[in-house]
Amino acid sequence: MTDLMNSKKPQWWKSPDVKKTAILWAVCTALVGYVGTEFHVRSIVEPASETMSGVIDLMRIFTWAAAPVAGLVFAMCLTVLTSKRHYGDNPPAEADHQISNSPRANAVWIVVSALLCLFALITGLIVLQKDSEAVLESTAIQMNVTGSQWVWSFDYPNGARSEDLYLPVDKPVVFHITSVDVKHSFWIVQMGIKMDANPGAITEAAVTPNKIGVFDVRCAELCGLLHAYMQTKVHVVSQSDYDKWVTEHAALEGRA
Amino acid sequence: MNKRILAALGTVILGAGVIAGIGTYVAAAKNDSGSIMATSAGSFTAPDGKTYPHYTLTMNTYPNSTFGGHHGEDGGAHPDWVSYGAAGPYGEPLTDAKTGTNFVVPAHSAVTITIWQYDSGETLNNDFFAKVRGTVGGTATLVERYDTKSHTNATEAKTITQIPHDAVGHTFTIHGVSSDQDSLFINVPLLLANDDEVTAAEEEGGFTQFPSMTTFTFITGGEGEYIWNCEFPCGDGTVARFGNAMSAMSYMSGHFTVKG
Repeated sequence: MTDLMNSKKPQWWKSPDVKKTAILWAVCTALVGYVGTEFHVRSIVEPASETMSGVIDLMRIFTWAAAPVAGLVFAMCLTVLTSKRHYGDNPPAEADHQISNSPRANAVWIVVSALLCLFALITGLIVLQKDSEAVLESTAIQMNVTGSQWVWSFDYPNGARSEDLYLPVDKPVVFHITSVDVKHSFWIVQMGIKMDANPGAITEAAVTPNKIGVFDVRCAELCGLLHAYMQTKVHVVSQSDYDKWVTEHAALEGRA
Repeated sequence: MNKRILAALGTVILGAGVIAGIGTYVAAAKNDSGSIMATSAGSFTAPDGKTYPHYTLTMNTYPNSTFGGHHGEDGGAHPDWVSYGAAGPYGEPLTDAKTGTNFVVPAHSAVTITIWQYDSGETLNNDFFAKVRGTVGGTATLVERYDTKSHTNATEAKTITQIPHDAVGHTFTIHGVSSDQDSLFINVPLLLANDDEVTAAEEEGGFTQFPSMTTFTFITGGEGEYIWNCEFPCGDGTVARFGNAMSAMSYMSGHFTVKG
C-alpha cells in the first residue's frame, strides 16, 4: 500500500520519444512555415493591387498558423517511422506514458483548433472587407464585364467597348459582371479579383490597380471547348493615357 | 533480389506502362485536320503608309457538314452541324479538301481573308460581335449577295464597320492566350444568307447560289499561336447553343498560327 502511494505517476513528457517528437515538431514547423511561405508565395505573381498584396499576406499568415499543425503530424510520423519495432502481445513498459481518455488533452485539442479557425475567420473577413471598400467609392469607374464563350468584352462608362481591358492607375474600379451564355469566372490574376459571371445575373467586384503595366485576365470556370483560350490582357495606364484611350474608343463605337 | 524491391520495381514499371498507354491512346485520338497556308499576293500598303507583304486566305461557312475531310480524318461529316471549310477563289466548296479550319499566316504581314457565308442566321448573344474589330481601318467589305455561278457581285460591295446584331450568320473571331506573344484580336460578323434560299438549296442537296461575301484585311504581329471561333450561337441547344459543332474543334473553330 505504501509502495503504491509512493509510486509516482509516469512523467510522459520526459520520455525520449516525446522529447524527440518535440524537437522534430519545432524543426518541421519551421520548415513547413518557411517552405510554405517563401517558396509558395514567391511562385505567385507580383501583385498589382492592394487586394492582391492582402491575399498574399493572408496566405503567408495562414501558412504560418497552419505550420505547427502540419509540423506536429510530420514529427509524429517521423518518430513512428524511426522508432524500433516492438514484438509481443503486450505493449512495452515504456508505453505507459501514452495518453488515453484524457479530458485535458481533448480540451486542449478542441480549444487550439477552435482558436485557429476563429483566427482564420477573423483575419479572412478583415481582408475581404478591405477588398470590398472600393465598391462604395463614389469616384469609382463603373465597368460592365460580359463573358461570352470564349471572349471577354468590356463596356466603359462613356460607351467605349473593348476585348482587352484598360484601367487608370490608382483609381478604384467596380466591375459589374455577367455572362450571356454559360457560367464563367472573371479573374484578374495579378489583382486578386475573381468573381463568377452568371447568365441572367450581375455580380460585383472592385479593385484599385496600383501598378502601371500589362496584366492577365482569365476565365476561372471551365466553360467549354475553348475555355483555356478565354484570356485577355489588362493594361493599367496613367489617368491621361486612359482618358485618351476611352475617348478614342468611344468615337470608334460612334458614342463620343 | 529482395522480393519487396522487386514488387516495388514491378509497380513502378506497371504504372509507367499504364501512363504511356494512355498517352499513346490520347495522341492517336487527336483529330488534327492539318493547316491551310496563306497564299502570297504581292504587297499591301496600309493607310499609315507602311508596306507589308500581302497574303490571302479564302474560306466558306456552310449550313451543314456534308463532307468530312475539312474536319480531319476522324472528324467526319455531320449533316446537322454547321461548319467552316476550305473555299476556292470564287467561294466554290472544295469538298475533297482534307483541311479547312486551321490556318497559317506569316508574321508582320497583311492578311486578307474572304469568306463566303452560305448559312442563314439569327441574333447574336452579345452584340459586341456585330462590329468589325481589329481589321485595317476597322472595316470590312460586304457583298450581301454574291453570284457563285457568274462569279460577280449580285449586289454592290460596301464598306462596313458593323452589321445588325440580329442579321448575323456567323462570325470569324481570332483571339489568343494572354502571354508574351503579340495581341491579335479580330472579329468580323458575317451577314446571313437568305433563309428561304438556304433551305431550298439544302433540300436539293447543295448550297445557295447567293451567299454573302465578306473581305477584310489585318496586320499580323510577331509569331504566335492563336485560336479562332464563331461567336454566333450556332450549335445545338446544349451549353447555350454552343453544343455539337461549337464544341468540337475543326467545325466552327480552329487554330490560327502566325509564323515568322
